[in-house]
Amino acid sequence: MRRALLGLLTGALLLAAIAGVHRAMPDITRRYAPIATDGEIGREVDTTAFRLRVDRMQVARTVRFTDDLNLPGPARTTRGVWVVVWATAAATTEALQLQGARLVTADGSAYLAASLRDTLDKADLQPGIPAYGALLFEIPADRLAGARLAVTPHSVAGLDLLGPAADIDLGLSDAYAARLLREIPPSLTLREVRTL
Amino acid sequence: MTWRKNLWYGLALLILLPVAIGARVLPWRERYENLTGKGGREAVAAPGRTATLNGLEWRLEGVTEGRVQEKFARPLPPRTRVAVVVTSVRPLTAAASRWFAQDGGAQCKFAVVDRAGRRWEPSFRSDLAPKTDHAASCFRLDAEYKLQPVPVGQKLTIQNAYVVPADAFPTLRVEVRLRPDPGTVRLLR
Repeated sequence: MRRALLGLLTGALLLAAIAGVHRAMPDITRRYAPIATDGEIGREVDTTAFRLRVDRMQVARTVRFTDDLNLPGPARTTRGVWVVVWATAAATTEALQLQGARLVTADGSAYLAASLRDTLDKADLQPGIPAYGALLFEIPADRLAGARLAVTPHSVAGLDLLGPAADIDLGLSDAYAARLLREIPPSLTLREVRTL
Repeated sequence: MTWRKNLWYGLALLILLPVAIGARVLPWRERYENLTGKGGREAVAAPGRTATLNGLEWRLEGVTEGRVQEKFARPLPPRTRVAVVVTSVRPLTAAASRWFAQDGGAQCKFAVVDRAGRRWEPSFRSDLAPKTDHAASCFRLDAEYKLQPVPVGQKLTIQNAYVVPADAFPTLRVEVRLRPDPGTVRLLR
């Protein structure tokens, strides 16, 4: 009798453990998510496929790129704000692009880099040949505080399953974000990506 | 007696587990190789020698340093050099001859690799190497720009230019990944 009870109890415990593990198991998106290396402004992040160092961050109401002759192009406006992240990046072993550059805001929304030419996410990065340029994001002004930079090689998440990623803390505290918005310049002139 | 019985179970597990894993993984490995062109068979040519794979005989004809040909062209990135790589390929079988007319050059991918394992693909710039009548990849076009097979025994010479860091230049070797029958040819220098 005692043995039967013990067996029953063990079975119940095992079932509960299985249910617990099943519940605690992350969903498929999280299980196969890119493997991110954390970083912050000024510190180089070394993933298996690329190196990335965010040098500084700015915000602006409009941006314009200079052309090959250093003449400013047309102003690009936004209903929110432009977040300009200046970074240096290089591939480690094979050529790639950082098309999956996203600004992830505090509420979990992810803003893909703006589809403009001459930004770092559109550049072909080659091993041993670092490139410096801007990553450009268009976001609502009230979502600036707490935003982080997440970078993967592809814009389609399914192509980066368990792949390399960088997750950069931009240091955008509430106070700092408010100050950036208070002192926001009307326009920023950006240079195209250059190799270093 | 019990431990002996358990031993048999253990041994059976040791055999069955790798078989089960293999049965799941191997079909995916084949798909991965077909999709990426990585893996498959390999052929390596020692310096000055040929390598044969899938009925194709490959040879590295030479690696020279190129320079920007036009006076006002975009400058090269700092601390880089141009490697002009000339490779030749000769079909040895009828199937290999037809392979050239299959996919407009997408059936082979050229790259150079340095001693550290860093890999560069050909530059799109046309002003880095002298103009020649060499092909740019594994295909030959007729007068109407249609793909045509390379006759058995005839050599197709291919030229590509690569922009690589200066420190990589001395140790570059050439790598050609082949499709649809996946394979890699490595040409040493």
